[in-house]
Amino acid sequence: MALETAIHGNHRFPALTSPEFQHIPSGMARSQFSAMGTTISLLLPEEDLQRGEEMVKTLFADWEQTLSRFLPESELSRLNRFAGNAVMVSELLFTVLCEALAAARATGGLYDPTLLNQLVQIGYDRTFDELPAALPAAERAISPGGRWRDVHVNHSLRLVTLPAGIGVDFGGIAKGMAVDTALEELRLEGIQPALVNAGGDLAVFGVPPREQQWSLEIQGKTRSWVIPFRHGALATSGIARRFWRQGTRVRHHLIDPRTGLPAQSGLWSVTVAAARCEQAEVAAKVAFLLGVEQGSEFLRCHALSGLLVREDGTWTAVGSWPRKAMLQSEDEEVMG
Amino acid sequence: MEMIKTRVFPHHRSILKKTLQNPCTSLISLSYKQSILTITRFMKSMQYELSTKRTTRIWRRLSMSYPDGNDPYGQTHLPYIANSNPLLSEWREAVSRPATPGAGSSRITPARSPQTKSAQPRLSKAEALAFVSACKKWLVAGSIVTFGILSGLVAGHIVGATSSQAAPASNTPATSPSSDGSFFQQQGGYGFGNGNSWQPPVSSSHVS
Repeated sequence: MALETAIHGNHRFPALTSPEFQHIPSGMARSQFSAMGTTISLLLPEEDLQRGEEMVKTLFADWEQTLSRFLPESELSRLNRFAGNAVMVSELLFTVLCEALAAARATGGLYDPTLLNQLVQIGYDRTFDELPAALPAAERAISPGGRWRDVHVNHSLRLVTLPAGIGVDFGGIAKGMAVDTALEELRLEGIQPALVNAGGDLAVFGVPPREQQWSLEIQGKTRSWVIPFRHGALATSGIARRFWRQGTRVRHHLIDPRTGLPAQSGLWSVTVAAARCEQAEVAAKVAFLLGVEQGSEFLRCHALSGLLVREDGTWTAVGSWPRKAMLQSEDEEVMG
Repeated sequence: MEMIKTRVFPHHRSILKKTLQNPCTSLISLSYKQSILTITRFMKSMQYELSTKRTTRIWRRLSMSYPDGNDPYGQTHLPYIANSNPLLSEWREAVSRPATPGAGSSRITPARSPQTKSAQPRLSKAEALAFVSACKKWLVAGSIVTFGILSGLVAGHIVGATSSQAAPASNTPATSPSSDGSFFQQQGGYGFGNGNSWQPPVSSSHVS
């Protein structure tokens, strides 16, 4: 199994160009900082870099303080502690929760924001940086998800009632929404073109000066590709980084709500292009859980494009994904 | 009221006594302006020819008197201070105007008297007990309803996980919650560029 190989240290990660060595279009500047457990990278016009960076930093700090399940005093943690009671929440938490529930409905529950207990049970109870490579075996049987259907929200009073014993973990959707919001704020401030990348979930607005597109690197299992991108968002879900051992089992963070256990779909990663980063993030996760065939069908049904990379390194492109550019990118590598 | 009587009308006790028996002169219950008008009519009806100075003195004493008799300074005669109250000026004009014929025959129309209340016959003991019993019933019913409401609130246990202050601008998501089935709506869409010319990457999408 590819994941087993990786965990034993025999796997060679694909060559991913480090941000500091990536190309910077003329007239633009890069800035990066840490937030929401990952690296946030910005590409903005030189003259607007400082102003834009401040705005985006503030936004991500606020969102992390509100939505992180790893911060005991975050609003989300307090909401989880009061599961079973009606809780009045902030506009931010309420909007993200409602959006997560809308995503759950749109995916028939394959995206499930109420899998916190399952994640904790498989050992993901702290930030990934603090997680040891090996954990003791789980003591209890893990139940499937689907309890998002029992979450009650009162729109007029912004009241949320989680089912007793259930916790919320937004996963990537909160990060995706933060990227979308940051880009929208930059646009409203007249800062463009702009690229906001939160640990691989990115969105762009406008194109760099004297260029017609953004050249973006997509990570596969054994290699990476460069594709041209003009507008919208890209997000990648996969098991390349967040995995660990629990007892004798290898675990990763992409839980299949149908079983409550880490998904076994034969995929290594899925990258999806969509209008908004939150959509791309949810679609990538769902396509990953469904596997190559059903996942491709799911993307087609929602007019999305994507790249599905199998555990053996082969790939399948869906929709208008730029296959030609990928093949050209492979040729460039061979020539190089 | 006795205090007012002794202070304001030391020379016309009998008249004032009648006046005080008339509820219209109840200066405590009437408003400020009403009090002035009442006194004016009263003066006219009794055909007092008071000089402006004298009237002013009376008014001054009246306005400085404590209707409940609790004068904290124990003063009965206060020094004259010219009053600049516009109402007083109006009143002065009204008083100094020559009395119109027939004014003497005008009578003060008694307002609704609070004393009529006391004139009502007292409730018999049985009626009073019945009234108290009814009050008790309403009290018990009200207590039960209040208790029920409070119990409901406690059972609902509405907890404020956050302060209700408005979220800062940076805390507001760009997108409003999607309605059912519209989550994947591709408003604005996405687009790939032309793959003819390879360029070095400016950023990357990867598993995080």
